[in-house]
Amino acid sequence: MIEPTHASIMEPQRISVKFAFVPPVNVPHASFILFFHRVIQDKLLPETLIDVADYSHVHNGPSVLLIGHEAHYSIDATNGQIGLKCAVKRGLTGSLDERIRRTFDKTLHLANLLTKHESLAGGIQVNTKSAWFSIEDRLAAPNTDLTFSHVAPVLASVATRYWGSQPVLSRLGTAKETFQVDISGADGSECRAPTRTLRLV
Amino acid sequence: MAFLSKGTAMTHKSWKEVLENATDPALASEIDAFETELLLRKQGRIEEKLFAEVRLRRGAYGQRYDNGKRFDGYKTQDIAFPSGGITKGPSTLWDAPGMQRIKIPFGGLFPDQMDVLADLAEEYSDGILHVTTRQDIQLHYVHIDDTPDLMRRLAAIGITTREACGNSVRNVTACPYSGVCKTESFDVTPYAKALAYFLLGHPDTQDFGRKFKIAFSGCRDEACGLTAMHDIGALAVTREVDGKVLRGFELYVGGGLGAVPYQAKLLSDWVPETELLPISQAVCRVFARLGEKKNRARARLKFVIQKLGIEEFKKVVAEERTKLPVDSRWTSFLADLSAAEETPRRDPSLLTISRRPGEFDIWKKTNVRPQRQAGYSVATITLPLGDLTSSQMRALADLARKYVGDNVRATVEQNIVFRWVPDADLPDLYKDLKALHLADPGAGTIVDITACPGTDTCKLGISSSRGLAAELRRDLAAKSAHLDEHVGNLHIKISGCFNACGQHHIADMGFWGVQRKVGGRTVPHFQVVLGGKFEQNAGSNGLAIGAVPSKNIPAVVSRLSTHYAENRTKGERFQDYIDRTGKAKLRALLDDLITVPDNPNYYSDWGDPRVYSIGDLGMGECAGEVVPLAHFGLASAERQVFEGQLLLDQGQANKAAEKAYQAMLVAAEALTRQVFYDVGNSPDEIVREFKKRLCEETTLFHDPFAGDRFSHYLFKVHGSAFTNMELDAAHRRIEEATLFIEAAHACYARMNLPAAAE
Ligand code: SF4
Repeated sequence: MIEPTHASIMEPQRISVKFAFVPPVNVPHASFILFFHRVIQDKLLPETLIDVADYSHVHNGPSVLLIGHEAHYSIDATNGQIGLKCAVKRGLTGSLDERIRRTFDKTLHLANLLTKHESLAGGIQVNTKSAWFSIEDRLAAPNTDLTFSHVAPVLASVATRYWGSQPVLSRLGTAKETFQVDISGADGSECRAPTRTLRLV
Repeated sequence: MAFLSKGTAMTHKSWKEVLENATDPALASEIDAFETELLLRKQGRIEEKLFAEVRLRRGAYGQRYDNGKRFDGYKTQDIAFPSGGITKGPSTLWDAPGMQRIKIPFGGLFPDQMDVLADLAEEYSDGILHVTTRQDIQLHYVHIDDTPDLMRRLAAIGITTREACGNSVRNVTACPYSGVCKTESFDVTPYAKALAYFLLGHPDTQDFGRKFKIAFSGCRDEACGLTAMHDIGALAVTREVDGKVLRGFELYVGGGLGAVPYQAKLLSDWVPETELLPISQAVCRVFARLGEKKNRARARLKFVIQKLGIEEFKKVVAEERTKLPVDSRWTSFLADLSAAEETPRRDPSLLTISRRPGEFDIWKKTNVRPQRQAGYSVATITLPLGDLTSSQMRALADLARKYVGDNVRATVEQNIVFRWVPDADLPDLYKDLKALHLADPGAGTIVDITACPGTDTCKLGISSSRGLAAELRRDLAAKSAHLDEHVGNLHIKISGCFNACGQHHIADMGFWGVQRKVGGRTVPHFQVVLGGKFEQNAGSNGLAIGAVPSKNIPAVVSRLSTHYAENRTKGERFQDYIDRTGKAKLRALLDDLITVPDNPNYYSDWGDPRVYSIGDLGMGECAGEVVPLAHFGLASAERQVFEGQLLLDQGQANKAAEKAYQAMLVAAEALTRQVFYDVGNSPDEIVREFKKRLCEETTLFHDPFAGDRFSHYLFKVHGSAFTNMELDAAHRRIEEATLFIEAAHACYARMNLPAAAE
């Protein structure tokens, strides 16, 4: 009887961004678990964090998850490439542009911590030449050309700020999967968080 | 519905609007009601205990740390959930993620359902689906605000989460091989389905003191149904009478694991198929009436039977059976038993020698079971710790479409089976599963370990059952090629605490989590339980022989299995070897492993580098709170009045007035049921009995000051048509209904005044 929540492509609540690691990844799985526990212990992220979940037993899944209220972070191998994924679940506000930027900022911030943290002993390099982007909301954003036509201009504009020049966007996945896009920097350019845009709180 | 999971349309609608026409209206309105209850709880208009049981009965369960406290390895930190003090149950914060249990009766799934389950895991959970020991699917880390849409999407594909948790009839389980098994008496599937849906939401199952579990098995000797550990265990049997083969069940009652396991007792060696539903209903009514309501530790059916004795219990059930009003559903399903028959996707065929990929035979040996129907087999997809990713589930749905169609089931061993695989397709299926990394061999062997959630997500977990299971699995899989065949066939089951959700009592080697204080440190341990029997429907329970530090459990498994392999007599089974060897000798064998060495590694648990602590244990929700039935009725009445107000705000006068009437009816029914349980369901019956028993024969409903005024609010609108109502009039109806419900609360309070205060 309460008013239903309407899904809108321009106001998604669930956005994910993933950066792959540069292979080979020689860090033991246990170190990632330790790292995520340290993120909670030392309050390294300015958001509500809950727990760490170990899914190393499943293949090509979220092998270690840092569970948060607003977002889950994972050492993710879902598409066969191990990397850092940030899946924002709630709390996004503002325009689509702002929502995408917030998700990028969160991912890049943790990626930065990950490459420097003592528990991983500098064993991780993040490949920022490309990123995987997804909207996990099949109602608002089915994986179709139509969704792409709505999202791509905004995504391209946001991505240009991070890559410095306009990157190449390619829609990925099947119709059953979530809406997902590969973002690749033109001429091998790398994604960097424009300092002024890093807004995590 | 299909277009939504395939994502071909874009919409600015809500799931509720989009799925309106794809959902059974009854299911849809239940979910709408639940969504309203969420809102009322957020506004503080439903008390937290009641709301906790309401959400549990919708399968929305609490998870570890939902009290907002977590030990991080150094200190207990507060988790700053933004919802502040709003709770969804006692000590359970609103924003804390929870577990959503999804009931899959007898584990039966079809590909479109698998697709949607995969979608839900990806969108609302963490991308992982977990198969449970009751053939349910569970999603973790789900926010309560997301549950109504999640439930709607399930309802649209014919799945309900109703009564998945709480003091209710849990998922009805059945052997995953029913209908295709060589040793079964007959296919129990349609019976399991009929009983599951008959008891779902049935008034006679709403007033239990604790959960109630039912299982079906097609035969006596195999393990699959585990009927001996259930409140009702139905074992298929046939009898020949006048040359005709009749179907029926041996019905067992009062089994259960938990802290003290009980083997079920025989209620009747012959319950004809026509009597299965009414006898089960009678057992439920006896449980609701005589079961303990206050002391949860003694509130299962097994304690009723222990108290009465099985012979007396049989008499009480027989008597109850005679009182039941006839219900056409008892037998209507029998008219069309063939409706449950499965259609294979492909024709039967034979496996040829030449088409075998490498390692196929190893997989086939443990994971393929020939069906009764020539040319077909059941293939088991082993899921590590019962888990699979959304992508794997979607890919499995596609493989099901390719090879077996709708013939997929989840198993109590936390795996998935494909039924009706043509034998010639097995090598191709194997290759396809291998590509998904789902072709691990070892189904039903020592590497196929069952574990409950334990400290990973359960509020009561003491030790990391999943962490230990993962470690043992890794260790044993590496050794599996060289394991003695008899060792390879053993079963390991692990629970995170004595509650036994991992079914440790019925394993060859079972473990349950405990802790010990050693030199000022708390050290995670597991009690070692040996000699339980999975076969013969969980034929016997094992015995604990002592607690061993968690980190030494792999050594326990290795030592016991080696000793068994080296010392077993010809043909000796593990249980017999345990009996023959004796507890003292077995314990001596493990003596050195019981001591905690001076090694910091022992102060943390498997898969968790934090220093071990149980300081952040939560309160259990296994059975929810015991909330009297009348409270649900009165809360439902209040919700309906609230919905009436919303309708009024939208200018829908007729509907608002009708809601107000329904709210009074629900409250009247709740009160009348207090004095006359079999009040009936129709509005006429309710109003008649309410009037007679609370307003005429007694004046229980009469207000000390207003007399019988409030009851007339109901009587005057009963039988009215709700057409052409003015907004004003509808408004009055809402106000009258509100007063009626207040009077109902007062009446209920008077009815329950302690005698001394009367
Ligand atoms: S056995 Fe204990 S730890 Fe495991 S799920 Fe049950 S209550 Fe939780």
